[in-house]
Amino acid sequence: MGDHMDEKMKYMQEDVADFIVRNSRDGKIVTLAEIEASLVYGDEDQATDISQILESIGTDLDLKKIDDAEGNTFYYSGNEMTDKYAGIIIRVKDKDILKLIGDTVREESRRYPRPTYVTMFNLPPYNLTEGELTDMLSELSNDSEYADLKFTNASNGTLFVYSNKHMSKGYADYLAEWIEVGQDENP
Amino acid sequence: MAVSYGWAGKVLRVNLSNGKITTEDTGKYKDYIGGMGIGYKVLFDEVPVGTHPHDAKNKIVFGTGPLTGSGAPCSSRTNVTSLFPTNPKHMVADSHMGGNFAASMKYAGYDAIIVEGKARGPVWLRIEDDKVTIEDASKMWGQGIYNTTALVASEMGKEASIAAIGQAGENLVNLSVIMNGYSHSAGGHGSILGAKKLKAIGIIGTGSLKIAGSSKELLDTNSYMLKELIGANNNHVVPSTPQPWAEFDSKGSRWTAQKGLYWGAAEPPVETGEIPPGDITTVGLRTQKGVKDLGPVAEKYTKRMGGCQSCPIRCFSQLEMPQLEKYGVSRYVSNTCMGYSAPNGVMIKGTSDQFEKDDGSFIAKTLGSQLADDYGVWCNYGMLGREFKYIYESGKLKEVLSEEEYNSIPFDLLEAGDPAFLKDFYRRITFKEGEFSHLGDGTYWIAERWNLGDDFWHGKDQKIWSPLGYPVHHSNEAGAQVGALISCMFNRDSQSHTHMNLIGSGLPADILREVSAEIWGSEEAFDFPAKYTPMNEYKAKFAKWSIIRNVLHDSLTVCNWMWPMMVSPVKERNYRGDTALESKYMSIVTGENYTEESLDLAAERVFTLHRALTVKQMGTVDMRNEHDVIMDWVYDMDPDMEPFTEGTVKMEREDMQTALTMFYEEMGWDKKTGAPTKETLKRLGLDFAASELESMNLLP
Ligand code: SF4
Repeated sequence: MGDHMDEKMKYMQEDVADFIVRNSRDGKIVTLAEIEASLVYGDEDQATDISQILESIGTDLDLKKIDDAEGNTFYYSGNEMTDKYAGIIIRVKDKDILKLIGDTVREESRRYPRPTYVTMFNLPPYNLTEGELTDMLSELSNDSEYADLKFTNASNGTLFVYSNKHMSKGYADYLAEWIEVGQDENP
Repeated sequence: MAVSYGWAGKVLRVNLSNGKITTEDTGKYKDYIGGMGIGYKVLFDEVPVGTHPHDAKNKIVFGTGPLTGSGAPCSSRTNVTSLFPTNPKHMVADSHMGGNFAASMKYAGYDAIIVEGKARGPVWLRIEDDKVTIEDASKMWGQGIYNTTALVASEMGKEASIAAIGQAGENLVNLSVIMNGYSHSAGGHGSILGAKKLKAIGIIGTGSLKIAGSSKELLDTNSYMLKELIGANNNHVVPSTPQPWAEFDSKGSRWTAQKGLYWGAAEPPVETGEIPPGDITTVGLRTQKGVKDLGPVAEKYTKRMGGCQSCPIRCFSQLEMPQLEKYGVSRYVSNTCMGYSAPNGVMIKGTSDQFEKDDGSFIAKTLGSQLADDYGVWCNYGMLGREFKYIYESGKLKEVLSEEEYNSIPFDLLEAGDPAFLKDFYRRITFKEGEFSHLGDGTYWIAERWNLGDDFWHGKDQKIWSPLGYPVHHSNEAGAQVGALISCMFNRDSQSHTHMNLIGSGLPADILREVSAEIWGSEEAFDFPAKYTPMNEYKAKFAKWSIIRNVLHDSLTVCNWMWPMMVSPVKERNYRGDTALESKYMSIVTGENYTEESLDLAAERVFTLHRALTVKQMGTVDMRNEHDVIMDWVYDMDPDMEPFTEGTVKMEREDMQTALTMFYEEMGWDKKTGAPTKETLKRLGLDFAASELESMNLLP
C-alpha cells in the first residue's frame, strides 16, 4: 500500500510539474485550483494535498509564486518564465495597465536605450486590443503623472513612445527611424 | 613546414594560359592561417603593381582555412582574393561566398585554388579530388549562372559544388559576382573570371578532413556553442518579441522565431515557435529570414531556411512564389539580406501592389534577386540603386544618354512602381547595352565618366564612404569611431560584422558596456547608439579587435556574420560569450596549442600584410590622406546638431584624425602616415614585405 502511494505521489508530482512547465512555456501562470483540476486521478487521490506536492517539486522546475492584487497566488516555473514576464501578466490581470505601460517605456528609454513601439502592447503578455491600446495612449497623454512620456513616428508610420526623462526628442526620433528603417537598409 | 591536421595540405594552381595544373604544399602559408591570408600573400608576391584586374597577370585565389569543412559551426566560407575592378587603383580586395564550395574544396584536398593566366576560349575547371581538368565551356558561355550551374551538374553529377559567373562576369562588368549553390555570391570579382574566360569551377571532394582531436571533443564543443553561445543570425541573442523565457527582446532582432510564425509553404507548414537556448536541434528555426528580409507577406511562401554547409543558423530564406513565373523567372527563390534589398533599392519610386496587398517590395526583392543572381550582377552593397536614383533624379541621366536611348528605357514602369522595370534595368547592365550600362562600372568610374561632382560624392543620400568609391557598411552609425575606422581600412566596403554583431545583439546597453570593458578594458569602448563621445583609446582597441577577428574568420574560415561569440542568449552566463572559442576549435582540429593571443597575432599579420600591399599598390605611404579618407557628409550631416549630441551619428573632423592616430598606434603603424613601420612588419614576420617596401621607398 505504501509503495502504491509513493508511486502515485511520484506520478502526481510529475504531472503537476509538467502542467506548470507547459503553461509557463505557453506564457501562462496557474492557480492552485487550475493545478488541481488538471489532475485526473481516482477518488482516493483527491484528498492529496497539492501544496505538499508543490513543495516537493520546487527545485527541479524552479517553482515560483506570484500574487495578484486580490491575494490570489499563481505558480510558474522560473526555468521557463522570467519574473519580469510573470510580473507583467499579474499587472495586466490587476488592470494596472497605464502604470505598466509607463514603467515599461521609462525602463526601455533608460536602459536599452530605445523608444518603445506602441504595438508591442498588443503582443503577449500585454495583449491589449487595438481599442484598449488607443484608449490607454490617450489616457497617458492626458495624465500629468506621465507628462514625461512623448510620442514619435518613424517615417514608415510606426508609432513609438519614450520618456523624455531619459532621452531627448531628437534622440528618440533617430532611434525610432533606425529601428524601423535604418536597420533594414544596413543589413 | 608541412601541415597535417585541419589543413588539406595542398594548394591547387591552375594556369589557364598554358594549361599547367600543379599543386604545392600549403605549409608555406601556415603563418597566414588560410583563406584571406593565403590570398594576400599570393597577391603580394605574385601580382605586379599596376596590373589591370582583367589582365592575364592578375591572379584570383579561392581560399579556405583549417576550420573550413571541419564541422565547426558556420565553417564553409570561401574567401576570394584578387584585384578589385571597381577600385580606382585596382587594389586588392576580398569577396566571400558561403554555400558548400569551401567544404568541397577541402574534401577534394585543397586549401586554396590559385587561378592565373587567361584561357584562349571559354573553359570551366573540373575538380574531382586529385583529378583536375580544364574543360571546354563554349556551350555554357552566354548562359546565366542558373543554367551554367545546371550544365556543370549535368556533367559532374548533383553532388558537385559549382561556382559560376553569369553574363555580367563574361562581359567584364565591374559589378559582377561569382556564385555557388545558386545563391551564395562573392561580389565584385565576377569579371576576373570573365577575363580569364573561366566560366565555372565544379568540385567533387570525396575525401575527408583529418582532425587531431577526438570526435567527442569536437562534438562537445559544438554542443557547448549551440547550447550556450549561439543566438540567431548575426548572433542576435534576444528574440524579436517579448517571450516568457526571455528577459530581453528587441524588435530588430533576427531571432524572429515566435508562436504563430511559420514556414508557411512547407508541407506541412512548420511553426517556428519559441526557441529558447538549450536545445541544439531547434537552433535552425530561430531565424525566419524570409519574414525578416521580405516582410510578413513572405511567410506563406516560405518553404524553409537554407544556408551554408555546417551552419545551424540558415540565414537564407527559400521560397516558392508561383506568380514570379509571370516575369519569366523561376517560382523558386533563395537569398538573404542585400541580395534581396539591393533590387528593391533600384525601385526608387517605390513599388505598388502586384498580386496582393503589400506585396510590391516582396515581388521587387524576389524577382530582382533572381535577375541579378542569374546575370551575376553585383550591387556594391546597395550603391547601384542609390547611383541610379541620383542620376535619374538629378537629370544627369538625360544629359549623358542620347534621347533615343533615354526614351527606350521603360521609366513608365519605374514611375508606376512596377517591378517589371528590373528586367530591363539588369539586362542593360549585364549586356553593356548603351551608355546606361556604365552604371555597372561602379561608383568611382561613373563619377569620372559622367563628371559627377561634389554633390554626388558628398551627398548624404548616396552614402558614399570613401573616395575609393565604396559605401557605408556598418560605419559611423555602428559604434561611432569604431565603425568609421573599420570602414576606412579596406579597399572596398568593409565587411566586418564583428562590431555590428555586438551592437545589434539586442541586449541593453549596460550589458554591452560591461562586455566591452571585459574585452577592451573600459566601458568607454562602447558608445550608446547615436549618443557618441569623443575618441578614446578603448575605441581604437575595439576597432582593431573587430578587424582582426574579421580577418581571422576569413582566414580560418568561419562566418563573420555569426562569429565571434562575444555575447550569449543564456541568462545563467550573464549573457557573456566566449571569445576564445576560435582557439578552442583550432586546438582540437589541428592538435596544436592555439590561444586567442596567438590567433589574433596571426590575423594581425594578415591584416598588416593587406596594409603593406595597399601601400605598395598605391605607391604612397600617406595612407592618412590618400586612403583613410571619409566623404564630407559624414561630418556635415544634421547641420543643426553638433557632433557628440544625442540623436546624431555625425562625426567630427579633428576627432576622426585623432581616431586614426590612435588606431595606427594600436596597430604599430606610423602615427603620421598610417603606413606599417619596418619594426612592425618585422615583429609580425613580414620581413619580405619590409624589404620590398624599403626598396620601393615606401616605408614611413
Ligand atoms: S549565418 Fe548565413 S552566411 Fe553565415 S554560415 Fe550561416 S547560412 Fe552561411
